Amino acid sequence: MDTSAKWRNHVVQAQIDRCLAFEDHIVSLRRREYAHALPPAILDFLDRASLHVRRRLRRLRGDPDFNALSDSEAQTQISRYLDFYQWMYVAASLVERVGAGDGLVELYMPLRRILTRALGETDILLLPIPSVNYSLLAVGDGLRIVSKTVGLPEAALGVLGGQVYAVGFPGLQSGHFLGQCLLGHEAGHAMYDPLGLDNVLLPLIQKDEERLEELARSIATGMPADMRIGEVQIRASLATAITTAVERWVMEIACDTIGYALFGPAFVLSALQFLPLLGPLDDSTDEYPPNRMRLHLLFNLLDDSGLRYPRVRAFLRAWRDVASFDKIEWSIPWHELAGESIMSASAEISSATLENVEAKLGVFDYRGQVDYIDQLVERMRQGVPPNEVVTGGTPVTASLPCIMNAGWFSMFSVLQATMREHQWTEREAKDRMNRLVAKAVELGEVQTRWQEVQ
Amino acid sequence: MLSERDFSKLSSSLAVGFELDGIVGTLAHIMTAHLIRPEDSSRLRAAKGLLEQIRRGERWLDSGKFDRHSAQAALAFDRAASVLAMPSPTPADFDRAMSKLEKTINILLAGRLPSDEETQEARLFYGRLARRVLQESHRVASVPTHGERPTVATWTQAPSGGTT
Repeated sequence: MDTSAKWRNHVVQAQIDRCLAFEDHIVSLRRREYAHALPPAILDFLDRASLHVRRRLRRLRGDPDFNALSDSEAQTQISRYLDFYQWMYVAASLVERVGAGDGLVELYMPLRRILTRALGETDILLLPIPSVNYSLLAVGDGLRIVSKTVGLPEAALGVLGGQVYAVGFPGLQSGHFLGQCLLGHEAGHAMYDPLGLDNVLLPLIQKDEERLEELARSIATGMPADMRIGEVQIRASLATAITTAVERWVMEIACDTIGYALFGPAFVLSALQFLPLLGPLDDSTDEYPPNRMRLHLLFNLLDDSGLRYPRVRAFLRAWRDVASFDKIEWSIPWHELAGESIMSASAEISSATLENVEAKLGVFDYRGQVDYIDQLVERMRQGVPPNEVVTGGTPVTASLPCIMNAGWFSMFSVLQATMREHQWTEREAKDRMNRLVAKAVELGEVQTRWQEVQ
Repeated sequence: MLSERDFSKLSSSLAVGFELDGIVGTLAHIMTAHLIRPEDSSRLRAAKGLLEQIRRGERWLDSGKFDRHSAQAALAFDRAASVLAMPSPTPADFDRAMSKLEKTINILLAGRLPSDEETQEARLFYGRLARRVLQESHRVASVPTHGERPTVATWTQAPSGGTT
């Protein structure tokens, strides 16, 4: 039975009412004060988008295409607006989170500076998220796709038409400042598409056609006859699973490589502290390779021969052994296939990624800075923020990666002495050291900006 | 807040979904009015583009390489295979069905009207695709936070993730 015009009017009106409620929500968010220009710009865009969609919904009633639809087709099309509404609500929730909790303010400018150097003028929102994970949301891209989809003019995006990212970090771990080197991986996500890394890296992966065919056959043979899943569905699902895994895993690995390029050993130490907490080392999903594989590839990048701190070297040695690709116990056959194909090309993936990043940002050369970092560690030992080293009366401002590496090395080599000296518990001592490092980044930023205006 | 991955998945499935809705609306109008308007051509070209993407995905296992388009093409093939109105199609069945759709869209693009039955078949195919994409984006949009599944029952969803 065809849906009555009355019913269509009712559901269209319900969606229009949702838009109106959303616009009220925007009004309440606008009443807040923002120290940053992005949140009001996002709110302006969302307001315009909602108004545009509301007009579009109103026009549906007289739209000959919409009126020609069957009952179920009309339901599908109306329901699409519900997802659009959810999408807008998520975008608004970014703004709601601005200023919630500790926002890692010390890292805002350094991170923005890194991305601007790589991508041109870029802005970011640093947001604590209620999850033990990091994320990077290409706000500009998302808004661009959706605004084009609903037919909004490009100009409606305003400043959001440029590079805009929301970088999420685990809110409860913001006090562990040293671990935030992992934001280097998120910076990698921001660079991955604009630098065209997918175009460069994905063709490096060779498909093992024989094993794929074999896998497709074995899945088909193992399928119970009453499942009624045909060969085409099996091939389609397998192709999707493999291509998605390879596309996503290569991106994750490239982003780890970028994190390493930005922070050197400090990135590996942060990853070693974080990744094993996320779950069993050999677990894989269509979107993430097993963490053992990620660590293995990071150890391939890490040249720790120049490291002067015996405790750091011993720690890394122990993990190098654990993080062996050969030890991975695969539980999903196509993930094993994807993993092996990627491993075969891993050296090329790393060097092509580093080459691209080198051209834009340079790669952090730990070995060339060993003496300098040693002096920063000495400042940590004295309880002084490691933001500079004074040589011959002239202060030389420490870069972000130098500070972070000095912080990590101090955590291994100075922590015990600090605890003894001040009668601090381990937690207190770690907390103080993290705060020293955060302070050094803040002071380093002040010095950098001062030098820029001189 | 949706994760980065979910947010971009939702953005792109909204884009594909609205495009499919436009194609279905155009085909529905053509069937009702028995005419092709000048403004229909962009949607018909989009319909053809989708079929080409499905074909690229179909060929991927045999001859495809990894590139920035392979996952999208494979996904398009997967969607198409799941909405074909036959229980377990063989590769030859799939090829026949696609060829028929390609023929219908090409006739429309040439400004001619195929038979009602052929247009209806194309309309059903794109309609099912539109619905499948809607189900995908519903799944993404209903995950409330960073990949965590809901732990309390909502009006339409049981704690197990099944619908009530």
